[in-house]
Amino acid sequence: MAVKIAGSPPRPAGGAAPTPPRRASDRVAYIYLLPVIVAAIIFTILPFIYTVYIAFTNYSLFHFQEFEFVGLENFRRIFAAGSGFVPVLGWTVTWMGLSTIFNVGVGMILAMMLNHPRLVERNVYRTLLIIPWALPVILMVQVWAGIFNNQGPLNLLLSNIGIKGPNWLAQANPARAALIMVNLWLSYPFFMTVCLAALQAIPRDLYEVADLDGAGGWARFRYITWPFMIAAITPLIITQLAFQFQNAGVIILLTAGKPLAYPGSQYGATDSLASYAYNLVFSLRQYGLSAAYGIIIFVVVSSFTIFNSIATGAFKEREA
Amino acid sequence: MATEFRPTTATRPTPTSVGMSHRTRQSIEVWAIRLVLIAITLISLFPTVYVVLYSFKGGGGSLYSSTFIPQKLTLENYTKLFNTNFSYWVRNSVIIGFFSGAVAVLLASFAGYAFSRMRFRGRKYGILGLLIIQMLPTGLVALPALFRIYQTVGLLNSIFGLILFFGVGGSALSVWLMKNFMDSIPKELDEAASIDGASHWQNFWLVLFPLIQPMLVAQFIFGFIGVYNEYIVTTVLLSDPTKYPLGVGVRTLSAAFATNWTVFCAAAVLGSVPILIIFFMAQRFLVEGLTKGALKG
Repeated sequence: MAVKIAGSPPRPAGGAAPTPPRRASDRVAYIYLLPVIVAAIIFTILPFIYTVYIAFTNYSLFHFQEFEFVGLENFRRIFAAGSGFVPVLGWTVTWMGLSTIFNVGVGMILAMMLNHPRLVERNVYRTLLIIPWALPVILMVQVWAGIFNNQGPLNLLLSNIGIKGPNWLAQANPARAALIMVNLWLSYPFFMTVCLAALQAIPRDLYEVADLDGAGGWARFRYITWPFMIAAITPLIITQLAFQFQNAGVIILLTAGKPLAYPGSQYGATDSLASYAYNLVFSLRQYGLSAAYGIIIFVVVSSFTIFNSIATGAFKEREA
Repeated sequence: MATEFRPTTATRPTPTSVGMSHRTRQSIEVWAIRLVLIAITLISLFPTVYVVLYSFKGGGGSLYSSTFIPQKLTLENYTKLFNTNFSYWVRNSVIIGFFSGAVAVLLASFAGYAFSRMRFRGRKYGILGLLIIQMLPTGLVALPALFRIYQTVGLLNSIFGLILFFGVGGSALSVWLMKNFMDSIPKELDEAASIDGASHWQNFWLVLFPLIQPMLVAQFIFGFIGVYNEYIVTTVLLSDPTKYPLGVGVRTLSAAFATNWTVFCAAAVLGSVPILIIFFMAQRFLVEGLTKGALKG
């Protein structure tokens, strides 16, 4: 995957006094970084500090103008018995685990099938299979909502083969299954593409040597394909776990957390921590409580990322 | 590319003499794979086929139907779009996507340049710091804060405000990808240029900028598509439907499954085609940019 460098680099005019070689510290670097740093302060750090602040207040619809500091009250409410934290966390972890397993697993299996040396028409499948990635998520999730409608096309097709389909989005477990299916449909093309790139980067000679040694299909997979592919995508798996943990977009767009966990409950059966926090802000207007949930999400997600960077050395500076 | 097949049977010291030959086994394998792939492809295409089919469905706009293939086909759903805000949404999407994509790419390449080519205090932990900052849960939970800030400076319900958020907010990952990409370009090139008297500024624009184009294109397109797909921030910062970008706008059409569904389908098809075309035109860049950045190629 070498970068193509066409011709010689364009030579800047002049060529007069050569600048001293750049060593020591380049102060000018901070100028190049300034826009990103200012942006991070305005759009991330300030809102975050404000969020931490309101997590310790009773800021809500009923205390909109004059909210006050309430200490750990919001966290006490979250961890109190019957608060919804445990069931919501339970589904969040299930969602994270199943989504990651399916998204990565299906992508990987498809990549291995596509990589079969005698599959001459592989590009046809690859192009068609990548389409979900190329379509706008926001529109296609809505199309899926129509497909899963009780009288929608999926149940129509099921009834044609004699199966009475459930009212997908109105019942807890079918709604959860629907969410995981839609998330899989949206995500597998990325993993398929990345795994295929990883597979094609495996040196051919390794397989030739294995052939000479009389290795069978399983041995080739077990000792060449698998270790290479896993090494390449491990960082992506951890990133995917962290992403799915806080992925509220699909949930908000498809089910909005519905159906309710029980009649009159504040949280839904398909609410993840993130979609519940969103709901607390936009439907229930409990900003302080929502901010406290946000901090919990942040702690979990940043642990994933720190673990990832330590485990893989992904961000470690390679000394030049 | 690892696509060609080399028949290795002949060179094997121990050919599979019992049972099938290597070649026969492989052709059974490939047919099994073919069948599975065809089945999966058909299932995966289902929503796409469905939405295209229903965008042409005549006889009422309802989602409900007794047959999967519509009995009557019409172009009516597409012409009905002229009575909606569809043309505004297209225009808004182009404006918001273009400017925020361009600004984001430019900022990321400046910062990536600093991290890749310069030495300064804080460099080592700078990117990790940026990535951790980006993980702060702003997108979702800090929205009341963002809303208040926008309210205070009077940027609510403004397309410019949305461009500012998408273009300037949150680019740590792109900085990192950009830095990795620049690291893969030989340092000798800019060292040669700087011996010739090029400043950092000239070096960036004349030497590196032309060489990072695959990454620039990839990130611009990701930015563009990202804006197109964003729902949560967009609906909080904008309240006027004529200012919505296409995705959020078209979604408002689907509110009524019983009456407006086929019009929504038509809008979804029209709204998806440009993105699909951009994606496939730029696929080479996307895959190269991704694999280079993500797989540390």
